[in-house]
Amino acid sequence: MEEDLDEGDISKVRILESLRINIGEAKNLTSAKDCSCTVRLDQEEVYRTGVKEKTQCPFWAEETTFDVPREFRQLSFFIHEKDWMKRSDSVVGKVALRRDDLHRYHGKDQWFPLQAVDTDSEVYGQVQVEVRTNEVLGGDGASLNKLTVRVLEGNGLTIIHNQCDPYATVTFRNETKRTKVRRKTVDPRFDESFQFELPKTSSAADTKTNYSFEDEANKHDLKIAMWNSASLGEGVFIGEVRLTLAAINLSSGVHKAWYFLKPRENSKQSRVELGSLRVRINYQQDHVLPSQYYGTLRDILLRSPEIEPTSASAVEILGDLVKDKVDAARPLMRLFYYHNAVVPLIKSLAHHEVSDTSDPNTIFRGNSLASKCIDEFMRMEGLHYLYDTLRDLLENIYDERKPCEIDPSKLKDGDSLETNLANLRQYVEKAYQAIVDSAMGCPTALCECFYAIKEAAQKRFPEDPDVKYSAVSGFVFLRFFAPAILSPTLFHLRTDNPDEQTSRTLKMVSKAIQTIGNHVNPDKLSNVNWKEEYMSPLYLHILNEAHMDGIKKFLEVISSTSQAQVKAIEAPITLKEGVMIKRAQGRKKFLGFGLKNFKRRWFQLTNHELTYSKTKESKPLCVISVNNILAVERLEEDSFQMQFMFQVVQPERALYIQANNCVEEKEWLDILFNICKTNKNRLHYYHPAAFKNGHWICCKATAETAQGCTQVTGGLPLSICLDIDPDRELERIHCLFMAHLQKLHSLQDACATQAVYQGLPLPTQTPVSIEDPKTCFATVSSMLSEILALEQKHNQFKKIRQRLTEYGSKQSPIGDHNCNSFH
Amino acid sequence: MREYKLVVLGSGGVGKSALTVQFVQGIFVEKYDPTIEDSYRKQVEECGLSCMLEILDTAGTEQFTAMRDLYMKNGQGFVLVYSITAQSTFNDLLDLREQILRVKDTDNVPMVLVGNKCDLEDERVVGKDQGVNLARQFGNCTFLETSAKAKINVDEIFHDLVRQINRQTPDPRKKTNKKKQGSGRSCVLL
Repeated sequence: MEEDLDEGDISKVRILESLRINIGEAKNLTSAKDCSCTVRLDQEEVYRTGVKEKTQCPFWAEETTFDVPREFRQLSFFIHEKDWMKRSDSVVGKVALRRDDLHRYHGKDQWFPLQAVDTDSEVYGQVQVEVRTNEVLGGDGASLNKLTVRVLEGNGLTIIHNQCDPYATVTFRNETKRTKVRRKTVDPRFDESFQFELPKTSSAADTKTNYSFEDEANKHDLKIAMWNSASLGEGVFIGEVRLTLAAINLSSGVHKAWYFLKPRENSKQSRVELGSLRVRINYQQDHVLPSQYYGTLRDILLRSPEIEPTSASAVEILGDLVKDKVDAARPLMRLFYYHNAVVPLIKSLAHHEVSDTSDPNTIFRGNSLASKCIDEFMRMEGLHYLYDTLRDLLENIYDERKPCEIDPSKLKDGDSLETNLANLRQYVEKAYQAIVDSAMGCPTALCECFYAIKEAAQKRFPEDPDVKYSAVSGFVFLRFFAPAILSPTLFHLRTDNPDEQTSRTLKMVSKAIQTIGNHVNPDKLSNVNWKEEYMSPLYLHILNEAHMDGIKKFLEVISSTSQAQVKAIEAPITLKEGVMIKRAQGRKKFLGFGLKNFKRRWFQLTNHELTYSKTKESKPLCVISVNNILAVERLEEDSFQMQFMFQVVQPERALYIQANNCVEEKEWLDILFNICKTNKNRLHYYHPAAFKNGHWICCKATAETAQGCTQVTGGLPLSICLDIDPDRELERIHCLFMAHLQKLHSLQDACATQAVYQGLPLPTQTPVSIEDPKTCFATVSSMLSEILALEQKHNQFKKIRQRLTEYGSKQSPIGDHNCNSFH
Repeated sequence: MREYKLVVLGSGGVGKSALTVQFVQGIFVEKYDPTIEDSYRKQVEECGLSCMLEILDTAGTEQFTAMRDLYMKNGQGFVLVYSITAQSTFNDLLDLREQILRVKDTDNVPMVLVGNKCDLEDERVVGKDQGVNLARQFGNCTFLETSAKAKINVDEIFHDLVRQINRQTPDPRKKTNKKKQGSGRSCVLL
């Protein structure tokens, strides 16, 4: 950390953003139709909730989490209602939030009033203009002042009805001139110049330098408007920039800058009450420095499992400082996972936690760092295992939709309690069997983690014969299987939200599975009093000795380290699936009938192959073995004038695929890219654009087999920890420490005081309990100095960046007002 | 008969189910069985009127918190439970209350703060004064120290909550049969 950041390093500082959005509910909508809510990054839809029928107060409670794949200015929520007459959605209202304001709303549910949406106010994108004045000789020999306006290019313009064929108009003193139309692009290059005559001024002396705009020009503002060309009639407005010549600095004769487009001059926001929307937004923006700056922090953290007592380790101190433990658990587990050091950490955390537990009943029940870390690890390491175990069961429940209600007070007319009980029992049995059978497929690292939990519990409560089961069950059933059955979407087991009846079935199966997992001792069953009476008939059937033995055996297998992994998961694991659009792969290319080449397909990627089929259920039309994926790269938009295109390069050809939006594009690219990185045959060069009409658009080579012209993304083949970015996690941890700097300082003081005046009561309350003041002091001090040093680097970086950013550049255009302001 | 939707919330292992079952069935559940979501109905007398209580006993495990929003939207009265033997369960309640108020979009929600396990005086870490102070912070809501095991103050929780709901929204049947609409208020921000 000796060297200072220089300007060269600035390009290596990455700004990474992630969003977790919880769409709660809307209320007081003006009409009771079927409505859904979409999330947009600028104008692009990245998430859509399910449809809630005929309600003025739709309740969604849906969540989406993603890394932001590109720059954006605003995050917005649109409420759509289904209009059966029009066959399409209409927008009821929106909430738009500027990116720069997102931190204000971080982490809290909040109600926002809906705003009206109309085409004149829905404006995105920016435009680059150049304005200059020059003197020309008129026909009569007198000099005239002319204003030259050059429209250079636009960027990120609004798409209306899936189309954007933009042109620009320039208006000055009632005179309007227009550019040519650019087809199918949101980033048009115009580079057209227009000349206007400037009004003569009273002081006709030296017009070039002393020209005064003050009186006349203010009335004659310059307006540059963007339009979407329509086949019939006038174009549709997509935004405008209004300039007051007096405000422009023309001292150098030329003014050239990027401007944000704005809503139409006379459009006014209506003040009608449209209702409101409740959302919770977690927005994180991390400025990740180059790796070398994080070395020391990483070493301090990774040393944690060896520190005695555990309470004096960096990890435990972080856990004590942070209120919401998951904020600390997530980056910590990812960091330790990357460095293959999860199990020792969990072991030390688990032992530390149980030492504080007095009742075996409440073991690992608290909201602690240990339980959060284990939970996080189960999700990281066990997701495929979970998927493998529960997939068939969930598919059955979703597809068959058998009624399973056994609560007499909730029974629907015409339903029979006996039938429902039989249905429910069948699902529960199936779930039980699937879980018990999966024991050998449980990932080794998870087994080691469960072993550590079991050990810790047994050591703490040696006289309790059941605690070794309940401790492990408290994770694998209570925190893994049961919640996954209850809400499959949260574990990415399903993409669709269940209907009401299916939800209820899932809830009851989840409850039953949790109860089975928590009962291993038949002796204790005789006097059990079931909390809810209506569940007893079910438990009478399923809680028998055979099942209890099965659960015991299952828990034993998954919590033993010596287990021979006989049954590795042979069946392919689905990594990602969904609908995308693909281009015909060369066999039947009807050139000239462009659209026919693109078809919607259901894509599925497993660890073995990438396939696509007409629908989810139908047979694959094409199977690409993972070994044959030689490269995965973005495809230049120009190739087909289509966004979100990427290519899967195979030995013979390339498959061109269009994702639905930028978030999905990134997710597919990332996962395919990771799969392909481990491929020995991976290409080193590829073509960034398509082969079309007999040549490669990028390099003009005419042979379809011509070697690629551009180096592939990323370098060396990587380790197994593919999608973890340790620097990013360390930066997260750094931010957490920074947010609690004050507490860290007072902890340091408290340690120092206690170490000196041993045994004396502390003058002030400490944020965490101090077991061993000396060790704790050492850890806190080394962390403090490292955190502060890192922060200094960040400040340097901020300063350099500010110096380098120019107002009016493409990165920082002039003017920015299109969002709600709630301050 | 008027129905009351009551929701019991709090961290894992504080005794939400024990309190609920003690109130509904009059027994103390010995075996600890973490709840996912249980619902109970019980008829009680309050101010000479019969009331049907629909009590939702919720999960303390955070993995199930996704459902909390729905409980908060539908519930009319809330029991916020901590254990006097675990400081963290007490600390968790601040956020929980804030979320209820945000979802309900009002500052006035019938609520009872409960410090459970008061029979375990030896293991106490959360002082009674802490509970009293928190209740004051919660807009002077009712505060009770309870024991599901020793049956201390259990019925009081639910009866108090019913009275609070009655105070806030008098029985609609006593008036004209006017349909209640959403509050009609839109939110005020910042």
